[in-house]
Amino acid sequence: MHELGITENILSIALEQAQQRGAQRILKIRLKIGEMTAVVDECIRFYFEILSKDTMAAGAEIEVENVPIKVKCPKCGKTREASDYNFICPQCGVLSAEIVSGRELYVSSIEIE
Amino acid sequence: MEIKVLQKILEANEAIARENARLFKDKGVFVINIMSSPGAGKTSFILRTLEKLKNDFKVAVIEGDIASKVDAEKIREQGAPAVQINTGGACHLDANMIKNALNLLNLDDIDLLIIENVGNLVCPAEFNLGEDLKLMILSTPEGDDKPLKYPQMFTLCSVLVLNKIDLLNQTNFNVQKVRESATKLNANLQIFEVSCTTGQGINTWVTWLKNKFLVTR
Ligand SMILES: [Zn+2]
Repeated sequence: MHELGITENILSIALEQAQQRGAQRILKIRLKIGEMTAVVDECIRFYFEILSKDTMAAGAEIEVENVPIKVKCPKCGKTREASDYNFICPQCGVLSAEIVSGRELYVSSIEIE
Repeated sequence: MEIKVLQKILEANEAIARENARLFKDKGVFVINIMSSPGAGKTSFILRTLEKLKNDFKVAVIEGDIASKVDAEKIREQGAPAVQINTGGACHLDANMIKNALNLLNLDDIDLLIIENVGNLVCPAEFNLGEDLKLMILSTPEGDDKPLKYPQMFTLCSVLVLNKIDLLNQTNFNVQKVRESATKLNANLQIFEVSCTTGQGINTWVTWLKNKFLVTR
């Protein structure tokens, strides 16, 4: 449900950027979304269609890059994927408190004309 | 034409949260953001905490949970100022709602501010409010598989309260299992087992909170 608030922010970031460049239309918005955020891509697309209706972003494609969860072991320093939420290093048996990626919520780029 | 943006989607919220945090720090107010599923006992937990703290600390409460509108009254009966936020049906509180609610409180006269977030374990995770402490309540009837369902919340909170511990015998909630799975997500998580009905464990929690407050402020 937090996708509504998130989508409002995506739209305003994209519109602001596009206006600064004097764009006519926004064709595509690229997002980076970490696996941990539990943000559902389909919900974003759904709200985006409604929210962008009377703006220059109407009809824009939402491209989502999902970022997997990665943690870093404090002992051996190795970074590894932990999409199963197993944060314990298989080699050292130590808990990796440092989450290196998976929390991202970014607008990475937009395509305008 | 492609334009690099690289902007945090929730940067607007983050900026206001930082502003709130700065204000809290200036005024020496310690702030707790309480999150849980509906019915886990946020309000009873706040009332129990108030009861123990009200002689030593000046506590105020921001009520964000629509379902507990009546409860702002109960909190005022305890002698604590309470502000009810109208979230307009939103699934979480955001930093701006808190900023607005602060207009109704005198921060110079508050040591501890407790924020009762909307009953939901997914949405509030992404929205920082400027708080010092994120606390989540999990009640025994909800089941012991929550850490696996809401991992983000478990990694962001520093305190986990296991409430309704008096009902343990009537559920198949396994405290040890939750402690293990929660600690595997967040090694620094402080876990308290309480019952807001019998008062069990409340003293331990309040003592911890007092110490935390004293070292932070
Ligand atoms: Zn290791």
